[in-house]
Amino acid sequence: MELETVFGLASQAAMVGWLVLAATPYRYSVARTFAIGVGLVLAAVYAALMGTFWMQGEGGFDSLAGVQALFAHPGLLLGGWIHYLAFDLLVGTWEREQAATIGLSRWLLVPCLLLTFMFGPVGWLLFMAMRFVRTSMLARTAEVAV
Amino acid sequence: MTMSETAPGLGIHMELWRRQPALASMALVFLLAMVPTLLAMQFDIRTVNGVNVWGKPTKFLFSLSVYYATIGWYFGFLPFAVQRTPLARFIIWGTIAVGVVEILWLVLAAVAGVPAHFNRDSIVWSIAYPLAGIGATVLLIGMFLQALLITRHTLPGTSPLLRMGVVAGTGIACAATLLTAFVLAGGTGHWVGGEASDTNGLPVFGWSRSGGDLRVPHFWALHAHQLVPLLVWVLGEKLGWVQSRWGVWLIASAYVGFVIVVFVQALSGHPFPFGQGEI
Repeated sequence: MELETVFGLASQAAMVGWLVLAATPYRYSVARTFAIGVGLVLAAVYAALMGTFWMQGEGGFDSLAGVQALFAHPGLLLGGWIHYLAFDLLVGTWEREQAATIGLSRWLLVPCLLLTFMFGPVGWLLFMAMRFVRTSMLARTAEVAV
Repeated sequence: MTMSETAPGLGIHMELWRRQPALASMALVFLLAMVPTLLAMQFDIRTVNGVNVWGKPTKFLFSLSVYYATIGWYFGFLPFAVQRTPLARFIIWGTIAVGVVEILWLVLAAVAGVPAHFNRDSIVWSIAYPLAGIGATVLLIGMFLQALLITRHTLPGTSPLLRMGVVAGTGIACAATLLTAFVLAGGTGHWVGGEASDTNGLPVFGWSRSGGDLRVPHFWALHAHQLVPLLVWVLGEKLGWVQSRWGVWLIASAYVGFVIVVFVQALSGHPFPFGQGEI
């Protein structure tokens, strides 16, 4: 199979996963199952790519130049890209799950998901900040109620 | 409505899970682990013995999955409490541990693009191969001990003929596999004459079609574990032709005869199922 084809299919699969996470209300738990399903498929593709191309790669993880040399191989570069796609989507799934638990508005979740999709850790940082604010509000309310 | 009415595969898995949950889940995990290895076959162009490097891990994942499903299913012939005994725990967890290590070995060999069996290229690989042989022996010991347990405990309501079929099939599988595997491992490869490549082998199995292949008797020997009880079940429970212990003996003897025939066929350099070897 052509690597370019794999890239296209993987990106589309991840995209659909993100849309489902962002567009469906919390009560549709099937969205979570679906996104995790996409994550499983991406992980399987990643494993297959690494198994195939790992021995062909130059370099390693010990220096920046080493990592650069590693990603000079198209198969390993694609593997690295799918690693992003899969883990970002799983972080997004976790954010949605947490947001539902703490009752965060979906209008606040969506920008976090968008940022996690585009710039991974930035979206996660934003979500952690929102979760911190929301849970401290909840804790205070609980204290007052007691 | 039962599960089996909605989806037969799911129903069978639920029944397997009810009989032995750890082995049932392992069987499913190994089956699903074939997804990445089958995908890797699409990406990888490297070959060993003329077939894709991922062919072997895929085949072993499948056969170990069948193995776990089989011994998991046969736990259904034992009272559930027996599963908590140390011996049964060894059968379950020992075979799981060995299977996982075996797959790890085959996957690493595929990643490296080198043969796993008969690899004597470096110290690590030449140590790994006999260790894998010990692992395979543990798998045989596991099923053998399970058959012993089945002879000792009776679960009310199980068919005595089927129980006998399970014990006979396991016994035949253990004895015949030890014999065929030792002949196999004693040599330098599994071919007897013919072309030393899997390229033109029998579809799926890769068995030589130009000469003898010791993997043929090894396969049929090992799968007496499933096939003998299956024959007893089909001929006895389903068709009602086999009604006595003599019938089970007959099935078992016929199966042993068949394994001997294919073993002699391979040793004399002839391909399975039919044909003349090119020696």
